[in-house]
Amino acid sequence: MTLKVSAKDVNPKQVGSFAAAPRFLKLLSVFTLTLVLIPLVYLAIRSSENGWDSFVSIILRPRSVQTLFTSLALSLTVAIGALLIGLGVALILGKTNIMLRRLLLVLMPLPLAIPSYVIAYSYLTINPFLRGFWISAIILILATFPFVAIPTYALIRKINLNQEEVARTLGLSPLGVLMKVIWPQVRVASVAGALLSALYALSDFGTVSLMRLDTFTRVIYTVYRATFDRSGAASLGIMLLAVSLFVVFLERRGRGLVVPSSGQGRSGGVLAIGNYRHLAFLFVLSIYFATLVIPGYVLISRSISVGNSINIGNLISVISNTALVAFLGASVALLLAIPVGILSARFKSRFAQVIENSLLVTHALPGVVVGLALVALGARYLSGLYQTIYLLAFAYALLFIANSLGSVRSSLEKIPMRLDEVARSLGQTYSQTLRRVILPIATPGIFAGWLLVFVTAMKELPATLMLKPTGFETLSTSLWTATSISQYSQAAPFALALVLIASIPSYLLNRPNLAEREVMRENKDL
Amino acid sequence: MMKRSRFFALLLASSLLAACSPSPDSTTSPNETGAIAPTGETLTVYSGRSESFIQPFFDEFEFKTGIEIEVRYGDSAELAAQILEEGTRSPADVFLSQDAGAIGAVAADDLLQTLRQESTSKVPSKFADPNNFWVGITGRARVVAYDPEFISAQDVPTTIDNLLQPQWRSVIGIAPANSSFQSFVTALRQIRGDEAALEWLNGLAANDPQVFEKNSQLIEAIDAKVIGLALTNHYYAYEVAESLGRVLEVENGFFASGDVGNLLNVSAFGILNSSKKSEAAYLLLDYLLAAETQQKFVSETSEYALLPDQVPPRDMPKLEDLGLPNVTLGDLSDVTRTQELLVQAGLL
Repeated sequence: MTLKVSAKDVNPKQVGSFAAAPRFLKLLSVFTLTLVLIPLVYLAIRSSENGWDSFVSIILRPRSVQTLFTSLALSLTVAIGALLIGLGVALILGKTNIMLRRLLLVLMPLPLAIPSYVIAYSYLTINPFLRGFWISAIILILATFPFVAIPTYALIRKINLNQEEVARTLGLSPLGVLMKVIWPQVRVASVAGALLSALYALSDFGTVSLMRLDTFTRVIYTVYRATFDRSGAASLGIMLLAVSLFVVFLERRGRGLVVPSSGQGRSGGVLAIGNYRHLAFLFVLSIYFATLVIPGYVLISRSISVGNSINIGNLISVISNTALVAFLGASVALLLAIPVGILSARFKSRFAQVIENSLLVTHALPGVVVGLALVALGARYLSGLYQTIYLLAFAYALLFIANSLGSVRSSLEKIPMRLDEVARSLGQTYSQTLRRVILPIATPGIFAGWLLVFVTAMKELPATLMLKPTGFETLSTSLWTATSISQYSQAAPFALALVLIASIPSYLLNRPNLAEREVMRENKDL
Repeated sequence: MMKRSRFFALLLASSLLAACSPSPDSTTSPNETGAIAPTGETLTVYSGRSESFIQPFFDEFEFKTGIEIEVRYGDSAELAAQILEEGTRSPADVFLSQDAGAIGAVAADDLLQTLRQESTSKVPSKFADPNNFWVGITGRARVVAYDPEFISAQDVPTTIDNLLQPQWRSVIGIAPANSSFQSFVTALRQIRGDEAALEWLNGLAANDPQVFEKNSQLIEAIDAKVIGLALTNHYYAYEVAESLGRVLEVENGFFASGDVGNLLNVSAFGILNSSKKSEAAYLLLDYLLAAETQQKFVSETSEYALLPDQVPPRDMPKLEDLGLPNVTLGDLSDVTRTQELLVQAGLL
C-alpha cells in the first residue's frame, strides 16, 4: 500500500471541523432532529387547532392556573427538599466517619433507579388514605435526593483541606466551616441537582396520580382520557413543556459554572462533630429506610402473600413484552443518536452544537407530552404504526435520546483525533474510518449507554399507557391497572419484577461512575 | 385476571408475528372471507366494560364460534375519544360502551353503522338508539353507595342537591373522568339546563369531593373508610365484593323517585362504519342479546337484563320500580358540552 499523503487529502485545518464532516453525517443528524421535532411541532399545531383565542382561554382558565400553581409549588418543594436532604447525606457521608459509611455510599444512587410510582404504590399498600400534596412531595424528594447528593459528595471530597484548616484556626465552628467554606464551593452543583429533582417532579405522572394530586401530568392525562376535544390536553401539554424547558434552561445555565477544584493539597478529611455523629447516622439511615427498606419490604412480603395465585405465564409474557419494546426503543434511540454523537464529538462546530443542544433538551420532555403528541399524530397520519409497538418504541427513543447521545458522545470524545488523521492518511474514506477504527473502539461505552436506555425505558409509564397496542401489557402498565385498593397485593409481583429487572440493573450500570470509583480512590489513598 | 394465560400467550404470539411482518392495516387479514360464519377471524373490540366483567363472555363467544376477539380495554369516554380521533381509520370493529352517552357521541360523528332492525328490536325501544346506531345490552342504575356505619339508610340524601350540604364535605367520592358520571351530568343538563347543571357542579366542586379514576375504586374507598359515600353504578358493590371474596361495608342507596341521580343507563353495542367484519360483529351482538347470555349478566355481573320480563339482579328493585328520572337515553350524546362544564367546574 502506498501512502498518498497530500495537502488535499489531509488538511489539518479541516480534520475535526464542520466542513470536513461527511455529508451523510450532516444529513442523518438533520434527519434525527427533524424526527424528534415533528411530534412537538404537531402538538403545538394541535393545541391551536381551535384558534389562538381558544388556546389562550384554556391557559387562562382558573383550573389551568391552579394546575400551574400546584405543579410549580410541588417542583419547588421537591427541589428544596432534595437540596436539603441531598446536602445532608452528602455532607455526612463525605465529611464524617459514621458507621457503615462505605455501604451507605455505595447504595446512594439506588433511589434514582427505582421509579417513584413504585415507592408511592408501596406506601399506599400500607396506608390507602394517603393522598395529596405533601405525601407526593415527600416521595418525590426521597426518590430524587441523589441528584443533589451525588455531585455534592464528589465535590466535597475534592475540597482542599487547607482551606478548612485555615478557617478552623481562624475560629470558625464546624457549622461556620460548612457555611463559609464548603457551601460556596458546592452551591452550583447542588442547585443544579435540585433543578433536576424539580424537573423530575414536573414530569412525574405515576406518583401524583396515585396520590390524586392534580399537577399538569395528571390533569393532562385525565383531560386526554375523559374529553373528546383533545386540543385542551394539547394546550396543557404545551404549557407543561414550556415550564419544563424553563427549568432545563436554568439547569444548563448553572452547569457551566461549576467551580474548578483546587488541584493542589490534600482533600477529604473529617469534620469533628462528636456525638452528633450518631444523630447523623440516624438521619441517613432513616432516609434510606423510607426510600429503600419500606418499599422493598412491601414488595417482597406482598409478592410472597399472593405467591400461589401468581399467573407465571402471564407474568412472563408481560416481562417479555416489556423487554421487547424497551429493546426496540433503546435501539432506535441509539441509531438516531449515533450520527449526531459523531458530529458533535469529532467535528465540533456551531451547527453540531445547535443540533446536540436541541436533542439534549428532550430530557425535559414529560412522558405525558410525548404520548399525547404521538397519539395525535399516529391516529391521524400514521395508521400503519398507530397502536403498534413501533410507535411506542419511537416514543421511548424520543424520551431517552438525550441519554443515548450523551453516552455516544462521551465514548467518541475519548478517542484521540489523531486516529482519524492516521486512518485517512492511509487512504480510508471517512465511513471506512468510522466502521473500522472509531466505532469499534467506542463500542463498549456505546453499549453501556444503550443498556441504560433499555432499562430506563422499561420503567416508563404514561407514554406506555397512551401508546400501547391493544391488549399489550408491560410491567409498568400492569402495575398501574392493578393499583386500586383491592388489587394492591396482586400488583406486588409486577412491581417486584420491575425493580429486579429494571431498577437494580440501572443502578449497577450507574454505580461505577459514582460512589464506587470514589471508594476505590479512597482505598488507594490509604 | 388469573385465567388469562392463553389470552396473553396469544397476544404475545400475535405481537411477535406483527413484529415479523408489519401489516399496515390489520383489518385486511388474509383470513377474511366475508362468509356468514367467519371462523378464525379476529374481531377488534374497544370495550368500556372492564375486563373482569366482560372477558368471560368474550371467552365463551370465542369458544362457541372460533372467532378470536382482541380487546382494547379502557374507559368508555377515553375509547370514544380515541375512535373520534381515529375516524374512519379506526382499527376497531365493535365499540362496546359502558353507557349511552359515549357511544352516542361516536354515532353523532357518523362513525357507526345502522344496525339491523331484527337485532335492535330485541330490547324495548327506549333502550336502543332512535336511529339504530347502537343497541343496549345491559342496564345499570346510578346509585349513591354508602358506608352503613357512616350513615344509616334513612339518612341517605333524597336529592342530588342535598350532596352540596357542608355535612358531606370531603367525604363524597366521584369518578368524573368516567363516562357513567358524565352521562349523569348530561342527564342533569337535559332536565335543568346547562346553567343550573354548572351551578350544581360548582357546588359539588366547592364541597371538596374526593376524585378517583374508576368506579371500583370508589367502592373500595368506602369499604376502607377513606370516603363515606359515592356516586356510582349499582353493580360495582357486588363486583368488588366478589373480587375480594368477602362482604363489604357498602350499601346501595337511592335518591327520591324521579331524581336525576337515579338515572338508568345502558351498556351499548355499536359496529363501526369502517369495519369490514360486520358479520362476525353481528354474531357477537346476537350472542350478547341471547336470553341465556342476558340471564348470565344478571347472575354473574349483577346488571339488569334488557330483554323483556327478566328478574332483577341480587337484592335490587325491579327495573320499573327504580324511580327513574324522565330522561331519553338517545339524547345523552352531547358529551362534549358536559365535559366543557366539568372542566369549567374544575372537576376534570
